[in-house]
Amino acid sequence: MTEHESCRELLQGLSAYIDNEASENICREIERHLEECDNCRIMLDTTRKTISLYQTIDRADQMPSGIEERLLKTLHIDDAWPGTGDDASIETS
Amino acid sequence: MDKENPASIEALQTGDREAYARMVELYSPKIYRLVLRMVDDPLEAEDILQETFLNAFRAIQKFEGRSSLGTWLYRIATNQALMHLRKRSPTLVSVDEPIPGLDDPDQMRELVDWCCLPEEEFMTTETQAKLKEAIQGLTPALKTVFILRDLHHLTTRETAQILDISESAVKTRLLRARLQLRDALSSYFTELVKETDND
Repeated sequence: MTEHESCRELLQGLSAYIDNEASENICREIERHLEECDNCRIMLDTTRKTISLYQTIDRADQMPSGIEERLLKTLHIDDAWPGTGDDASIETS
Repeated sequence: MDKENPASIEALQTGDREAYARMVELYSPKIYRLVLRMVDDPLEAEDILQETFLNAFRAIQKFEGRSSLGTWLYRIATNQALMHLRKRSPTLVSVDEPIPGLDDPDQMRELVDWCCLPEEEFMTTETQAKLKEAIQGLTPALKTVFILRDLHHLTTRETAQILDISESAVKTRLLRARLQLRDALSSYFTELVKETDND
């Protein structure tokens, strides 16, 4: 197998490896290849970093206050939380 | 996603307003975050959030519990958001970017390790804008899978149920989304590495 083919195989298995879903055999092959191939090690590290950067910005995006209130009003249930015990059915029209 | 208490589903199906309010309180922040990331517009995201719960309320009688309530809501929200994206550019045909090394092994090029950049470089306004631009550059199909799997931590199976695609399609899309985002960010971060090295 050429070096490029090994790198391509690693790329195809990269997601499963990152998610700990690759089989033991595949993990061993990937780790062996990573020891010899700097480029693929960088590919793995930068892909992990990419995911983690998106997770960080996503956690910072909270729903602005006011949206839930407007939503409950639109759905005509703004008086139902916290529980007021009204059993009237929901209007959705 | 957790399975709900059957009693709460029953309460929703009998029109218990408190159960509806509880469902909104529990799921609206997650659904808002999901659709905001998909459409990248706070006003549109709020519209989609409202449409999602209105549609859910109308259809709750048909909910059979084959998936969790959360997965069901995510499915409605994702469909609404995809519909909004299609309305924005109805004639645009989405094409995945070729990924160096994956689509053409000979394109594998020398990579720069930008993980070593100082942590504050990843927090700048410019970097945050770059991250948002890169994710909006993905096709809706790839973007949705990336958001559901990597940002909302749904399983491959849940994501497949939400999008009505096979689990293997989810895996393929996730790989392409991750590599395309990595690639889109790399040119920017590589420049930063060079600037840091020159300082």
